[in-house]
Amino acid sequence: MSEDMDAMRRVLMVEAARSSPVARPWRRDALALLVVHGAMVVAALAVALWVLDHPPTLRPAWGSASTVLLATATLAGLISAVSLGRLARQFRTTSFAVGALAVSAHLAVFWGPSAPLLHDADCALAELAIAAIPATITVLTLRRFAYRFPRAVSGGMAAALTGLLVLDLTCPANGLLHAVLFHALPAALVLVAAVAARARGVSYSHVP
Amino acid sequence: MSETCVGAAASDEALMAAFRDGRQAALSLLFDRYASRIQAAILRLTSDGALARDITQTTFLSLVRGRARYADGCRFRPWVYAIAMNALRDHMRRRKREVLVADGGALLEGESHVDRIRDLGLEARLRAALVQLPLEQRQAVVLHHVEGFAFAEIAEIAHCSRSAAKVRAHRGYRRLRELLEVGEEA
Repeated sequence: MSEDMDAMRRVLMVEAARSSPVARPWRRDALALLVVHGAMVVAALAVALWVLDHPPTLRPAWGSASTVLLATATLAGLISAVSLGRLARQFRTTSFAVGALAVSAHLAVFWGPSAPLLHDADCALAELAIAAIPATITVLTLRRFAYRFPRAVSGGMAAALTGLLVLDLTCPANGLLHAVLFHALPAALVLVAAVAARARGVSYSHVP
Repeated sequence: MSETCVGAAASDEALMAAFRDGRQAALSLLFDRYASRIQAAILRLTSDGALARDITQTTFLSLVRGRARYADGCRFRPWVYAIAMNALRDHMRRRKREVLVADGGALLEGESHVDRIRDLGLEARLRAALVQLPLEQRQAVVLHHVEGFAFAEIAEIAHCSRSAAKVRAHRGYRRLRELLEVGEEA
């Protein structure tokens, strides 16, 4: 027993001397994720505007509200994914509530009849492409501490809403069916994939 | 850098803050205070000595790697037990085997848990009964009855509400009583 303990102590001391903490204070993690998500939105908008010659879509005033709600839910989701204790719970509640409201507002913006066409799938591909990098980096960040399902959902939701935010600003199409099939459904896929990836991934540390 | 004393008289919280801020001597003291207690708690939960050793090592490695997430003002004892329970939960999730048997072996074909309990002495019967409980109830019973945590602290460790922790422990105690009564009657 004591030999086991001595061996364990030696391993720990070596690890403590060798490693700097892989989990940074949560504010730095939140800031890093925010930069990644923000950079992805800016890059996607730049590609839409200058490469694809796709000007931002002008929406009625309540259309802008959906953009603000999506950005707010993304931010709250990021904070709740990496923060601690009561703050995490508060931000989680906020992010889920605002996220649901934001998706509803996004669908409301596209309210109207439409016949989905094959080229509408571009929106789905855009959602998946934009959300892929933020989702991957979020999952890698979350592997630094203990797996918690609500935390994984918050992180996955933030990545999914990033793609939705870009589509909210640039998609010229109309029709509720289009928004459900080619915006909301791929976003849900991103969320499920991120949660599944985190659940299967090994945790480097089990700190809360 | 923390100016906190890292002597043997220092509180757990002061030691952890000092370790987080770069004073490695504090880790050794924390290890002395908690390693065997955590190993004993995991052993009670799993009845598997090798697993208890692994989880204890994983707990302290996690503490070392994730030390930057220790917040000032956070009580150390529930925090380190939360790490241990997270590590155990993660291990169980991976192994997908909730039912562990008292001696670590599998039940023989046709042998029920009650049969197994009947053949053992009181302490062993209690251990055998304990491992029949679902992990959450087992955790609540061991943390409350053996480790002496309050329900609010168990809630913190197990990531649930205080009332959920109470319910888990209550159900665990009730199930334990049933298992032991069945063993006595037989």
